[in-house]
Amino acid sequence: MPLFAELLQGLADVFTLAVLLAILAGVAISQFVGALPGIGPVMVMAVAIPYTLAFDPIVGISFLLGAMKGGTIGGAIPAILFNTPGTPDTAMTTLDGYPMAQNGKAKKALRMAVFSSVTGDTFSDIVLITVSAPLALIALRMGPVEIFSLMVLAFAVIAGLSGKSIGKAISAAGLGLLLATVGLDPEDGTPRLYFGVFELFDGIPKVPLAIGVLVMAEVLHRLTQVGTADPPAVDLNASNDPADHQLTFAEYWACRYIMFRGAIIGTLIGALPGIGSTAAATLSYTTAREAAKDHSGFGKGDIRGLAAVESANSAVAGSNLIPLLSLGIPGSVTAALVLSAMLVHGIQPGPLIFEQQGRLVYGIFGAMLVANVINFAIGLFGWRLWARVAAAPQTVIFASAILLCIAGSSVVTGGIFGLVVLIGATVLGVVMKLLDFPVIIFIITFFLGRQFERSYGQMLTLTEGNPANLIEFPVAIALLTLAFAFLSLFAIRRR
Amino acid sequence: MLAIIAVTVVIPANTEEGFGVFVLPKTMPTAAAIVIGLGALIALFEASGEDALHVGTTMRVSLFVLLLVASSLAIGQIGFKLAAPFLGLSVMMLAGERRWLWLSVGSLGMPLAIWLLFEVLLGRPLP
Repeated sequence: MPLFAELLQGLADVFTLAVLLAILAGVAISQFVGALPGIGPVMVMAVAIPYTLAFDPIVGISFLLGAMKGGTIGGAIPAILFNTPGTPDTAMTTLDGYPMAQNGKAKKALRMAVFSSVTGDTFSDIVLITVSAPLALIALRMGPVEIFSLMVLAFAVIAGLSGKSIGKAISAAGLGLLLATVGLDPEDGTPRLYFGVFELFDGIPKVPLAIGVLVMAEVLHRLTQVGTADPPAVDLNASNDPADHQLTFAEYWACRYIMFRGAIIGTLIGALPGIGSTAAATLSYTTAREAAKDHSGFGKGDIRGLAAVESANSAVAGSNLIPLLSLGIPGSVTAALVLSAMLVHGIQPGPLIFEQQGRLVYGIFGAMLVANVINFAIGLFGWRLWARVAAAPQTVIFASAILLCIAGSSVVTGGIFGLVVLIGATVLGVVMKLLDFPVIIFIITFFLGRQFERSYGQMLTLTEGNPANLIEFPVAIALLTLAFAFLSLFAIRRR
Repeated sequence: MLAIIAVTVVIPANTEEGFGVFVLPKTMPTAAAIVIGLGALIALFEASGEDALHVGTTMRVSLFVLLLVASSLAIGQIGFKLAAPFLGLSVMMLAGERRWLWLSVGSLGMPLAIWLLFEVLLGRPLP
């Protein structure tokens, strides 16, 4: 099909009632959940994957994309109003957002958070749309040996950047790979490590495992810390001066360079595997403070600080999908969940997706841009409601999340087996959390384990099992050397 | 230790020989177990006093895990619709919630909403 026709069809798919409603629901639910301190878009996405099975791939994936974006605004609301970050990446939002609220400028702060968040996010999406297809073309020129080496490099970078201990990260990566080998061997279909459980022939189901490790473990951990006291109320109308409530164009425009810089930082960090939005927000805030002529107001309610943080942490969302769509390698938990949803729907992300599923890819791009508009509209008008939600007791929210996880896991696998996997994954996730093992590298290696093994087999076939034959693949050697160098560097820096 | 047991006992006992030339069924599991062991060795050298478990948190999390296991058994026996209200109620009570309105929202409202969503709207049977 000609490229232009695919592009038009993909975009047309977005403007159907089902897709628009899916994006709307994803954004609204994620803003709602993001507004609850401690849980964010990851939870919404993981729990929602089983539900997306009832719909067409573009509808289900659009919901997840909406959820991915909604959390970027939802998390800022409790950070500004209650000094409690809704999501980890909004911890920096509290630095200037909460002092603004205390100074009677809560509405202005919330509006700035919405504007700068959508600005950063849109910038990142535009980069995703323009960069991922050319990158996929380059990736198509790579053979199995280079793909295998690229995956090793990605694993090394993620392992190096996630968590405090390089050893624990390597162990977590190994565990993900080990669990991915359960089921039929991809080479010759021999069953292995199924321990007499025939349901495991197809491998450990991805969705219950992701929900258990990512959501249930977090919820159980949070449940040990929640209190039942209501958060302190913030008077949204504390100031009588209308200028304290409104965000003028002049104020927005004055922050354009800060937001642009934040968007660039967020986009670059989002495109690299394993770093995440918290680092982007921190780097953007620090850079904005250092670059400002008068930085005495930072940390005391400076709107520039808020713009720097929100533009950067939101810009991570779009560029997170660059390595996923162009290389088939997710660089973050949210991207891994999008990958999981795609696999559940029978879609394999990677360089070939532009050729084989062009219409879907352009639909995804269109859905991301539409999600920004909806995110902006709901964020601008819905924050009053979310502010009330943020004050709801977490005990109820977490109990509801547990019930949703159990129902979703059972439905996606068609019975009790999903529940058993969910419980096992929850126990594993809790142990990993208590012992401080990074979950992100575990999830990514688990999701990519099968593909990794296949590439490994192809590499051995091409090199005839002789490592010396790698000399014929200079790109692969460079990638493997880089991986080793990264791991060594991270290990040395940690000491 | 787990990695050694996996490589020497678990993996050989639970994988067949296969027909592969370069990659046998046990190749990748063995490699993964070696990676786990290697990581554990590095972690041993990195270990610091900060790695100690917080006993209170561990005990409370374990309580929730036990409750979850018991509820799963109950779901297997009596089904989600009957077991879910008790699970919701127990979780909230264990977390310290005592306000009856919120207790009824979490233990009755939410299971009802899930049932409506899955069985009525999406047409997917709950266990």
